[in-house]
Amino acid sequence: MKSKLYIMFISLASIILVTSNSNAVIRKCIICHQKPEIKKVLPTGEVISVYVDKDILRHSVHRRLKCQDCHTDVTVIPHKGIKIGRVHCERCHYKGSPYPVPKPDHIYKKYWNSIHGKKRRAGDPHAPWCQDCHGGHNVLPPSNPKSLVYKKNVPATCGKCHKKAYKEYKDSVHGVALLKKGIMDVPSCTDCHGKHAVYSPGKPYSSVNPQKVPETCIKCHANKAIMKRFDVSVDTATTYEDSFHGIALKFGELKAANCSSCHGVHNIRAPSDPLSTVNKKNLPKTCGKCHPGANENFAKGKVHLDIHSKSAGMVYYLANFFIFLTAGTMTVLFIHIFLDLYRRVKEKREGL
Amino acid sequence: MNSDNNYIVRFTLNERIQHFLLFISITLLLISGFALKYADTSFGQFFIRLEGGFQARGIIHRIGAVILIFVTFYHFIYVLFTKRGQEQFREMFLTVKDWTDFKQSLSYRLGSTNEPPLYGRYSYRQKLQYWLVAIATFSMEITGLMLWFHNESIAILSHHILNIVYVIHSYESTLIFTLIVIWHLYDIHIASHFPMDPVWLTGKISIKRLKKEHPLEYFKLFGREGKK
Repeated sequence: MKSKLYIMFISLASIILVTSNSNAVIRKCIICHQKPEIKKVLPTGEVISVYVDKDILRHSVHRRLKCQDCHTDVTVIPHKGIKIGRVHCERCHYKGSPYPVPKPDHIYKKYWNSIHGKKRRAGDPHAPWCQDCHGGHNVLPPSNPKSLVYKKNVPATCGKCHKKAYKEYKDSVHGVALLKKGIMDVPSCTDCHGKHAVYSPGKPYSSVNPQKVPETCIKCHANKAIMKRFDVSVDTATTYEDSFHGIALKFGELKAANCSSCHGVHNIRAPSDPLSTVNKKNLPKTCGKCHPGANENFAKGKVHLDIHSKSAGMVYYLANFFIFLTAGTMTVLFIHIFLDLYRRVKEKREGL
Repeated sequence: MNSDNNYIVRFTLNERIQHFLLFISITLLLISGFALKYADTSFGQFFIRLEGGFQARGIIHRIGAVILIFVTFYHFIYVLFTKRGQEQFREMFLTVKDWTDFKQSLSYRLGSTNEPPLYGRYSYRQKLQYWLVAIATFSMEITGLMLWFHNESIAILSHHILNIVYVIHSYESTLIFTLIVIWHLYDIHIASHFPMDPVWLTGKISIKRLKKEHPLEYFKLFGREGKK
């Protein structure tokens, strides 16, 4: 009898403990919102689901919060007739917040200046804000592999809206490496476009502006340690900068080819891939975007040419030949000038 | 010839204009070309700004090219079809005497002889400079035109050939700078007639100078015992 009572007490205590930890705080709201068919009609006439998956909420970083901590508009239940707006994360996540939470400061500024923030300010309902990328009830720290903003999940997250880019990226050399092979050293969306400071490519300060593209690619492609792992040459960066395209771009000729003009944007593939825009077979078409009349002869010869490397072949020897010839000519010239001056000084001294 | 005031015309107005156009075009080409070649240095960046930006730099280079090509064609016609041009061109041929002149000038400068070589209308150095300019102009014009119309030349020849052409065009410029700007300016203009030999502008050379610098031409014109 005594032991039965003991077991009952323990089980009761454990139920109370568990529920008080997570379930208790969502208890009332969940009565309605756990029904999968629960829907809401927006003023626009759009119907959206307001179903809450308890399981997701239980594992979120916000599992200890009450519903109304975030959904502050809900002051009574049932909340008929109350206008319920979106959740504002900055209620808790702000600089100087007393709560033990991440306190981003500059991130809001970055976001509101970004293309997403600007569109949101302009009233575009499709422009994402915090929870569209970070998750609503399923918000998790970015380091958590289940987080929507965990590196490997970023492409799918952005791809919710940017469908074409996601589709191209998935099959690109970067996408395959990250999503299929699980290599974390390749760029996902945010590595090139920025996280909160995403700007349209037309803006000169965007990291994907034509003039900024080389700088953005070089972040990894000039890094010997990273490139060595993938057996990719690092001098693509320097050879581009020395090329006519690179110099023209640097001096503001935006129509000059940058990295992505030839290699593609989201669809970048290894040159050996037959679908790559820089595959030998596809080069005439790629060059032809700017160079009318490009044919198979455009594919014969190195593009990223390093004159000072033996791999350049004939060009290397030719350049060296000219360097020695010029140096030799200069030497002879200096001897000539020296002898000439020597004779003049001698004549002057002898009073000739 | 104008013996009244002790001058003769060394270069006709026509020749002076040719030289002037050559001078203008090479200056434009070198400045705008080096601006691109050394675009990664502050020197190159300064000149690109000076020339009004990257696109303007290209236009200046092409203006220089057009002037150079024009003067090349004109010179061709001049040398082939005018009497004066034919005579002057024949004077430019390199002969055995130029080799001996070179050796003598070397020993004169070293001091082993006090007899300077006697030059004709053109000294061996002047001839050499003429021919070097001719070769340089030709090769730069051909490679330059290939780069100017790169879409066509790559389509016909291949990118590989154009890489070679680019290297020739780029590296030869420094060689030309050495030969034309440094050597020619020093040898013809600075060394003996600082800051420059006025003949390139006036075309006139004093008979006294002619006798000193081109004695064989002087003898030809006035005889061994000619005046002065």
